[in-house]
Amino acid sequence: MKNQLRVLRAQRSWSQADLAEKLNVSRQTINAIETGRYDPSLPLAFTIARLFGLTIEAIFSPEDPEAHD
Amino acid sequence: MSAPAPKPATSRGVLTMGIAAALLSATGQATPKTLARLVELGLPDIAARAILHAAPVILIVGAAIIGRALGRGRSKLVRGVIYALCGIVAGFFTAYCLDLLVGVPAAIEALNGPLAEPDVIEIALWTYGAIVMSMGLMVAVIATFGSPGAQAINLEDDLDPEALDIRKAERASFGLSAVGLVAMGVASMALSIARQSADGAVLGPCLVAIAAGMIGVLPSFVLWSRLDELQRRQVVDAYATSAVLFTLVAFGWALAQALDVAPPFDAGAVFVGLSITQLVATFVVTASLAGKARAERRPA
Repeated sequence: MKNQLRVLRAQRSWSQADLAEKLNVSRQTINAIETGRYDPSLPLAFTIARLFGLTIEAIFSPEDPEAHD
Repeated sequence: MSAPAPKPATSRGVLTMGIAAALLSATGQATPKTLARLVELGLPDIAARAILHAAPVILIVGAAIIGRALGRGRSKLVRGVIYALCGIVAGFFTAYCLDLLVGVPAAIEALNGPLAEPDVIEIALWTYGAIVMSMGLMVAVIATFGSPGAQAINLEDDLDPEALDIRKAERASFGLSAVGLVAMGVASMALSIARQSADGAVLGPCLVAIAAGMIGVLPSFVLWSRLDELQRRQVVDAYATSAVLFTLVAFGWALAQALDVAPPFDAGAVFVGLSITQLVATFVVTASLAGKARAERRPA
């Protein structure tokens, strides 16, 4: 899964720890999501989307776009 | 507009390791055999002793520097293996130079009576206890000092400043983790003392082991409630991996026992075997996740 989390966070000048605090998760989890080694659960994905005022699809997308169909 | 990327922070792990090695060396006594050999070569006794006290510090710092150089640019798993191998070599030669913590066995015997020579399982219990206590002390440094503490114990060349951003709430968790690790180390060592004690002196170390075990386990329950979804998954993955690894360890031990080259696999062996396997599994699980991150960041 690819995601825009690092870009969205940088646009707001938040550190990973800042974002972690807002989402009530660890900084390691933010780092793992940003670097693509962890796909968040659906509840956490919804929380992330709500925080940035976007839809889940605007933030997360599959590596292989065909897999989305 | 995004803020410029902060400069990587410099680690102070090698310096810290040098100080720790010097303190450890100060608790030691020159091994009689090596000292005798150096004196036979014509060195004055005091010079030979000074060399045997200085050598471990140089060896340990050298191992850290070599490990860092060899591991540069490699995955976390490979770096961990390189550091472990360098540490084993440094540890082997340190044992050749010094008998460390010389006052400790005498103090234990003064409190609890004479101890039998440790068998392979008891050596494993002492080793595991020393490893988790050392880990606990390192975690305690982070809990106490926060980011400067993390910087002080890290061996890597340049550190991601994000990784050094340790908040107050995290420090409380690190503190709990440190208490748990140190207590588990004490429990493991007390269990070994109980096994090595004479029949009439088993109860004392058993009580210490039970108390330390309870103190060691309680923080795990509190920490579990504080873990987020990724951290919980890592714990579960580590236990799943340990089950597979420990089955292989038990199979190998059973074969060795059948061939009469290993002692019977008793409850103490199960405890220390599972504990060590779980340490290794936790490292493998976290390192493989980090390796995946590296692979995904690499350009196609």
